[in-house]
Order: sequence, then C-alpha cells, then structure tokens
Amino acid sequence: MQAASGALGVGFLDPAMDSSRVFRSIMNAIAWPGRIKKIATISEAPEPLTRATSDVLLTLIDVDTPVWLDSGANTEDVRSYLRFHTGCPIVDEPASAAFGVVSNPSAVPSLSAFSQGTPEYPDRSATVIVQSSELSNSEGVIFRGPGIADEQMFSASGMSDSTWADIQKNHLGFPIGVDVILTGPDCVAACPRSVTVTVRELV
Amino acid sequence: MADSGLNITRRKKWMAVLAKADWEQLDTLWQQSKLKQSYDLVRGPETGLIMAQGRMGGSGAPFNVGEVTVTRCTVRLAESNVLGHAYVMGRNKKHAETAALLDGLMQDPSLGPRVSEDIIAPLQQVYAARRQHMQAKAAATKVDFFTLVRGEDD
Repeated sequence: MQAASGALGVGFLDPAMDSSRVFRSIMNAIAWPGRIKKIATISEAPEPLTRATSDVLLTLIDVDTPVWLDSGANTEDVRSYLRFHTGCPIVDEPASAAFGVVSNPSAVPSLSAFSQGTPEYPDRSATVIVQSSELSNSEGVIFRGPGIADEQMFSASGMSDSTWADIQKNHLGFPIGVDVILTGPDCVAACPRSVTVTVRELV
Repeated sequence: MADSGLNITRRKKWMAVLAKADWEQLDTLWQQSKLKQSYDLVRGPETGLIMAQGRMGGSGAPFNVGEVTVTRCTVRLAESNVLGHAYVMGRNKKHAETAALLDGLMQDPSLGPRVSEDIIAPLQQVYAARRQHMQAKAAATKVDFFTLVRGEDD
C-alpha cells in the first residue's frame, strides 16, 4: 500500500513484532549474500520508496543513525515519514551518514563517498540501501565469499556494471568498507563488504 | 491544518482538555455525539515513559521531577488525510486513540465547531471546576508572612 502524496503513511502496526520479523530477514540476507528474502509487512511507503525499502528503514534506523537520501528519495514525503516514525537526523553529506538510501539503482554514488569505518572500528562504516524494481538469482554478476557455498548469481534491475565494479572495489578494502542492502518491491538481499563480485565477462 | 500561531494556541488548548479529561466522561460524550469517522492508525496507541520537568515557583531552573507513563497515538482521518495526535498520561490506549481522533476532527472546518460544542466545552467546564476546587483547597493553606520593618538599613 502506498500513502497518498502529502499524507503521512502508516508505520509498523505492531512495531516490536514487525521490526523483529524484518530484522530476521535482513540478518539472513546478510548471512547468505545474494539470497533473496521475501518481506511483507504493512508499512505504507512514501513515494518513491517501495514497501520493502520502508520496512528496512523503519527496522534499522533510529534517532542515533543519520540518514542520507539520494536526489530521488529526498522528497518532503520521505523526510517527514522518516522523521515521524524514526526520529532520525537527515544529512546532506554521504560521509556523515550511517545509512544511505538510493532510490535510483542506475545512479548509485561511489561507495567511497560513504563512511568506511576505521581498521580499529570497522563497524563504524555506513550501510547503503539500494532500491531496485526487481532482484533475481537467474542472471547477472557472481558473488563469492563467506556464506556462499560455491557461487551465487545475482542481479538487481537497473544496476550498472560500473556500480558492481565499485562494489568489488569496496570489497578490496576489507575489513573496512560499506555494506550494501538491496531491496526489491517486496524482498531484500545483501552484498556485505566480505563478498567478491565478478562481473561476468562476455565469452 | 493548524499553522498560524493563533491556531497552535487554540489546538494546544483542546489537546490539553482532551488529554486531561476523565476517560469515562470523554467516552460518554463521544458516544452521545453520534459522530462517525473512519481513520487509520499511523502510530500507536503505544505506551512509554517521558521525563517530566518542573520549575520551582514556575520560573526557577528546570529540574527533572520524574518519569511519567504516557500513551500516545496518531491517527489519519480517512477522507481528509488530516493527522490527529494525542499524548495522554497513563496507560489508557482507548483514551489516547479517541483523543487523537477528536484532535483530527477539531481541525476539520465543518466538524470542528460541532466537536468543540458537544465534547470539548463540557470537558473544559468539568476541568475548570476541578481546577478551581483544587486551587481553593490550596489557597486555604496559604500562609502570609508579616515581617516588621526594623529600619536597620536607614
């Protein structure tokens, strides 16, 4: 369900249960990089966010996590929705954000613009949430790494090869670097910094 | 929507009246008014704690009095998309929900006056009477200190 423009959307009806359910999906998605987990709750996403994206945001962000929104997501509806339901500060600079929200998968900013964490505190890095119209395991790039038995094929509609190359570059800095969460209309997957991404060469 | 300073003052007043009202009376008045409105719960009703602050004599430095149990609720009216908010002391979720709904209705130009007359005014009367009673009781304990001028400073 999508809230009408200008009207404040409904958040979680049962915040404790809904957010733990979504958190479990996100946790599993990160544990098994590339696997697509369904999530379906009742948060009414403000345009242009999908319900999956708003579920993830309502679950992960709070007053202590500054959020950066890309130009597509940086609307009054989204800002007031996040402020009302989570109380999070909204920042202009990706570097000062704990979470980045990218509503346009074909224009993901360079991951190096986000907070990378430090070798002493790699957990202080940002998490970037990229919204796509479709996630699929039947084509695309190859994920390898912890949590993947052999290899995992993955594609997010709209993501360019150069973005995947940037995600691979982000991996090379391990253990510092950002984690990427990918959301579809009603599902979530993840590409944490531990994953090696291979953009398949044309044979 | 309440935007200007005057509207905010008015809204503060009715929200206070709704929050401080006796639940039984609020419910009775609401049932009697026969107003019907469909709405969505945007947040809550949910119960939590807030830190209440006080000022000695109403003007001293603020200090923490203690934590207060508060139930809050936000509703969105189905037709107009208007938001109604309520923060009510205690754990009565129905009270918070009804108060939020009435806050929403009060902002409606056509329904507002009716709600004001049928519900807010009677509640305010009871509240004013209760407050006056408390004030009279407190005033009876007032002690005036008369100090004789000793003229030492002259």
